[in-house]
Amino acid sequence: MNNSLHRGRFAARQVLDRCANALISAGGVGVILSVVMILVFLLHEVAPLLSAPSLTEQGTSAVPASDSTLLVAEDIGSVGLAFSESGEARFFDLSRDRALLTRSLLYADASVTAATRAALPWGAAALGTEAGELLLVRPEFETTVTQGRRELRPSVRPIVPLLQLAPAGDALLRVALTETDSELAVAAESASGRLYFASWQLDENGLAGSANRVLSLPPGEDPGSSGLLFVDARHRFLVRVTFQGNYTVHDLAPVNNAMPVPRLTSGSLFEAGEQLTAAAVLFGSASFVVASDRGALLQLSPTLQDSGELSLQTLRRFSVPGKAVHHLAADPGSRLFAAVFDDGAIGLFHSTSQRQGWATTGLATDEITASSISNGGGQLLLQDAQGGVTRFSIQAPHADVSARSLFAAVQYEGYRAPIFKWQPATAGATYEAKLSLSPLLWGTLKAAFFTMLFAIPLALSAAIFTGYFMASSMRRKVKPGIELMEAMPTVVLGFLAALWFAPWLDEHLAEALLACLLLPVAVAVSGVLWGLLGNVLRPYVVSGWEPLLLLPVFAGTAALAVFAADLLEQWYLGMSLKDYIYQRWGLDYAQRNALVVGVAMGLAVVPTVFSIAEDALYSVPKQLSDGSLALGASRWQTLRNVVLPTASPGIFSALMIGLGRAVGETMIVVMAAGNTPLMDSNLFSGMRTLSATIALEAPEVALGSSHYRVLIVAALLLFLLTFILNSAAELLRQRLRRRYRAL
Amino acid sequence: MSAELSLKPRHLLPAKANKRTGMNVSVDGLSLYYDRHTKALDDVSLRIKRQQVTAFIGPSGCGKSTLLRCFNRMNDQIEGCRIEGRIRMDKMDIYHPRVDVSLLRRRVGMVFQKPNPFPMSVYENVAYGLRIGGLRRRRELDEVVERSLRAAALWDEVKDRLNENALALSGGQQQRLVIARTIAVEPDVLLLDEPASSLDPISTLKIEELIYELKSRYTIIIVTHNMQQAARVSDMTAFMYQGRVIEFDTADRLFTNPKEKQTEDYITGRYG
Ligand SMILES: Nc1ncnc2c1ncn2[C@@H]1O[C@H](COP(=O)(O)OP(=O)(O)OP(=O)(O)O)[C@@H](O)[C@H]1O
Ligand SMILES: [Mg+2]
Repeated sequence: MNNSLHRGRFAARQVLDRCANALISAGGVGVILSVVMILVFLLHEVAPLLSAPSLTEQGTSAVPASDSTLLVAEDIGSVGLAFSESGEARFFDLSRDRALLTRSLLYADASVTAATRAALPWGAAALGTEAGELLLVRPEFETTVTQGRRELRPSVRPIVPLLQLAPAGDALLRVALTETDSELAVAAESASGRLYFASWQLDENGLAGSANRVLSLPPGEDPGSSGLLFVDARHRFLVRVTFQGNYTVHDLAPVNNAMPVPRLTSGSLFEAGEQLTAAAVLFGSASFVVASDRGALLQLSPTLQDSGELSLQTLRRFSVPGKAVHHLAADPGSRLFAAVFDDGAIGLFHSTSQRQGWATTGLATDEITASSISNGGGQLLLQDAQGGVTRFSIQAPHADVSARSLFAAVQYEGYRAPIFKWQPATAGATYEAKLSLSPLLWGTLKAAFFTMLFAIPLALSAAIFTGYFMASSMRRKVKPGIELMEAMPTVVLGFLAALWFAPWLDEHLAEALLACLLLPVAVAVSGVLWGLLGNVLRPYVVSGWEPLLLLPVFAGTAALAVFAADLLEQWYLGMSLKDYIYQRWGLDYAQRNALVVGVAMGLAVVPTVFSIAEDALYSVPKQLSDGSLALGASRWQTLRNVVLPTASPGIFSALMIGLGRAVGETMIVVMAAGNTPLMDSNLFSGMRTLSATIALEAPEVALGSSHYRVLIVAALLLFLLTFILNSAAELLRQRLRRRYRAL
Repeated sequence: MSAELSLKPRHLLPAKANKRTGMNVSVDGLSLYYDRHTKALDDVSLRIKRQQVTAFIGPSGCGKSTLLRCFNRMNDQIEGCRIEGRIRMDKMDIYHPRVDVSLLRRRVGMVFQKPNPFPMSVYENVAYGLRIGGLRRRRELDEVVERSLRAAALWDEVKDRLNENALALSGGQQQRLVIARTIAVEPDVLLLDEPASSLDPISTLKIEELIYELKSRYTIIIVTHNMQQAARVSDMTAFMYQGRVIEFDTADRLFTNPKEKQTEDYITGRYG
């Protein structure tokens, strides 16, 4: 042969080989790279959740009101408002030590003896006077942009005219203020110890007319010396806590014939000698925190117990290093609050997640007279007796999320005990987001469990029958048939499951369950019958197609199930099976439940599991099963002792891949699982899975919010779950394969 | 007639082993079709005696393995395979409808051309047939395993690695293990389909010696391509060609003085 031609061809082939090599490597590396990039992106999006809340000192400025009783700061903390004891509202520029506007809210020589503000951004403020009057005002900062410069025009608007709440001369020593979208309520304690309550309806301008209700309650212990007054957002409870830690909870429900006297309960929060040092109402006015000189820091909420009794529930105790708390300031826009400790340390706490962040400062805490967090939550202001305001910027974008809040049971406001709950948002602005991934993880595993419970017996017995027993002529038709089911879009399966199967099952639960019980029995019985009558029947059946004889058996069993279900419900139970299940075991029946999901998702998983497991069984070397048969083993013995163990790597990976699919499957659970984030193992209740949650909520979530990042955590979790499942499958498979490698 | 095979499972008690003397096998007018068109065996008739080694020789594809598989009904596994004629073992028609195939295979052991140990330990491989038969007592199992491995001339090589995976043995050891596994259930007839074809000369020799030793207690039927081997180990030799037995005679006569021209052509190497 021509030598040069030979070489030329060789060179061309080498180039081709290299190209193919490069292409394949590029593909492989590309796949790995993109998976890694996805992982990196997910981790990058999750990372901000990890940073603890932090404080940095920004400097001190002088404020023109050293006698201020209440500080309010605008959202980015550049304009502050101080209410003075003489009843003046003084706006000042925080960064430039400059007074902006001073307005007198009261008459000359008035004296403010109590002041507070609602735990809301832009909440109203209440001032109580020495003369027993109440003033409700709303601080406002109107922003105008003129010639590219942002200008703030602060103002203070009265909400109601000055109100004589206590008899003239009975000073109001403490006030509480609770505001919601449409209502405003005030509680006040006068020097004589009487408690006053008044509530108003707010119009769309945030103004109120005359009071809806005014209550006056008799004095409690230590009249006129309460450390905290609290009215909850629903105006149901009035709580008073004295400096000794003794509390009373009043039920404010309208007094009527059924409930002739206002009820109250009382108790003590602290040990003897322990003193209340600070208190703050948390965002949403559902709970408040109190601190003691011995370092106790408690979140409390008044509740009605199941028995109808009033109580003050301790939602949680924050673990703090046992130092006395000097001041508490709650963020008006989130459940974050700052605690200033005796030694100058400042702690940031989030009530829901129990996240903490710490800063040490050289502040003389004895000097601090007022504290406040700005409306946007960005700044902590501490005022000292000399009139200086020290500002700290707060970085706590995701303080509401912690490992604990994601995975452990959380004591939310308004619940009796810690629970696992996923409910990221509702319409209410003050809603306490419930971001527990546990119910989603549970739902995912529950769905996968019932899916596999349905799919494994079906897929494996089909695989065993097709791969080991079936005539090859029939196998050639059956196998592609089952595999074709895999092409069915899961959205169609989910649609059918939700709109056809779930309602059908709802009506025919007894029939369906009985059929599930009877079918295996019927198949076994027909197997026995075939053993007895096979020789008689065989001439009438095409060899290899005997399984078709089961079709009438199935039909007969279904008919029997319908009949038996009727008997069962009518004569034996005397009620529908659903009612019986509810009465006997207390299990609720949801139309879209784990059973529906198990069946629908099972059908989606069966073809995958079947196909891989069948391949594994079919490719067990014939000589092995022949060897076993030649030793006198029956087909079943051969199957159990030789074929199944040898095919186990493949069967195992089939199960794992099926499980991975069940865990990650989305459309079916979105449609057929009901999407209620429950944490029970009830077959008849629904669930919400990680995948469904991501699919449902990701399109609407605010980018960068805690909710968004928690959804990314959910995605990461899903990714890890499937990754672990697949890796475990691969590892185990390789181990088993090494055992059988010489085949 | 077939009563013993179908109704009375014989237990594989070690005591009986010494009394085993094999079975006479007679084949009458046996034809086998793999499907309508492929006739793999054509009117085969043979008388095979106990305590003798009978060898089948013939060119590739002539039906030796097919005929061998008829003796333990392994052809039943093959879809569409049909049989005419009769095979009797000590007067029992093994194709009688009431014959329990599992029991038949227990009495007619088979060793395949390619070693096919199960992916289990050496011990479990040998004990497999006994366990299948319902023997559970460890002491008896131990005894039979040792005896079978000794009989298969493998004991000394594997006695320290009984719990190792059988797939770790060499090819020759695997083949002897398979023989041990087969004789552990104490069959009457031993079918060997080219047992030494994948082995080296030393292993082959060991297996040939083994066959010679086992002869006294079994009916041994062996398929081989190796003429010297057939001449060495067999008492009777059948030459097959295209599904038919052309000549069946003592090995001495068949190899030294064949009656048929085809036989002579084959053994002198003119085809095959
Ligand atoms: N399972 C089967 N299905 C259909 N035809 C088969 C089957 N097994 C064997 N045959 C055919 O039957 C004939 C005899 O095959 P057999 O395996 O018995 O030959 P052999 O003599 O053992 O050959 P070798 O020496 O190569 O092993 C061959 O033509 C073969 O193609
Ligand atoms: Mg052969």
